[in-house]
Amino acid sequence: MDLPISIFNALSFSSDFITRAIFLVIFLAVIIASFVIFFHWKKYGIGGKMLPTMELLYLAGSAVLLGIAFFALN
Amino acid sequence: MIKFEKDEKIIKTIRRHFLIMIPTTVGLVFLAIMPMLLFLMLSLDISFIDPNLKFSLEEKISEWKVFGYSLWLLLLWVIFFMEWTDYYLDAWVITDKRIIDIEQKGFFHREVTSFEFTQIQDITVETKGILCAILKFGTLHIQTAGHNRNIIINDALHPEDARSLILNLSRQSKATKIQ
Repeated sequence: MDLPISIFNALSFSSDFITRAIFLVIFLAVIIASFVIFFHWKKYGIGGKMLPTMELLYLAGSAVLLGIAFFALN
Repeated sequence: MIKFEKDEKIIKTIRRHFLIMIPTTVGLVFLAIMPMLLFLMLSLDISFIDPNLKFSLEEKISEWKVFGYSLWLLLLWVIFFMEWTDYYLDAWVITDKRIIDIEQKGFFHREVTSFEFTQIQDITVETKGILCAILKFGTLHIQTAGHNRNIIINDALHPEDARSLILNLSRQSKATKIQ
């Protein structure tokens, strides 16, 4: 008689897959958070040079950190 | 979004003092350096950690450290900007016609109240403690007629200047109305 297939065996993932999945989840979370932040800045922000500066800083920092994570992954 | 009248001009925007962002920033910086401290602790020769466990932990961490740490920093980076947005969008806008009180309570809760200068009954500035006196920030209370609540801005930067400005604009507005 065949033994039932273990669900844990069926669901075993490689560490490479897990790291890619984590990267994807965080990437999506950052995209959603950025969308919410930018929506608020564009809709409710009032004049001044502060917002464009912060936008630039936010995008540069996020891009650098995402880039480092992406290259560390590969 | 605030809709201004056609000929309405923004005279001043008052925000809380940027110092109120310091506890959040310090907390986030601490969280940012915490993984480095943990890694440093592991690299030290600590006797109470089992050598086998230490070796396997070191191996796992060195495999993941750049990837994990950059994602951790990214998360903190986004949190900082979310907190900053909350701070920045919480403001008082003084125009030549009215005062607009914007209270940003988190991302999806926002209260906007506006009132004309003629409604102002009293303005009080409260400066508590040596830090407030040196760094020139305090609480500004405005008592208005026709509003159920007083308008309060906590930790406002240069509250005395704001008070004088509002009082001047209020006087001008009342004088114009009498004429």
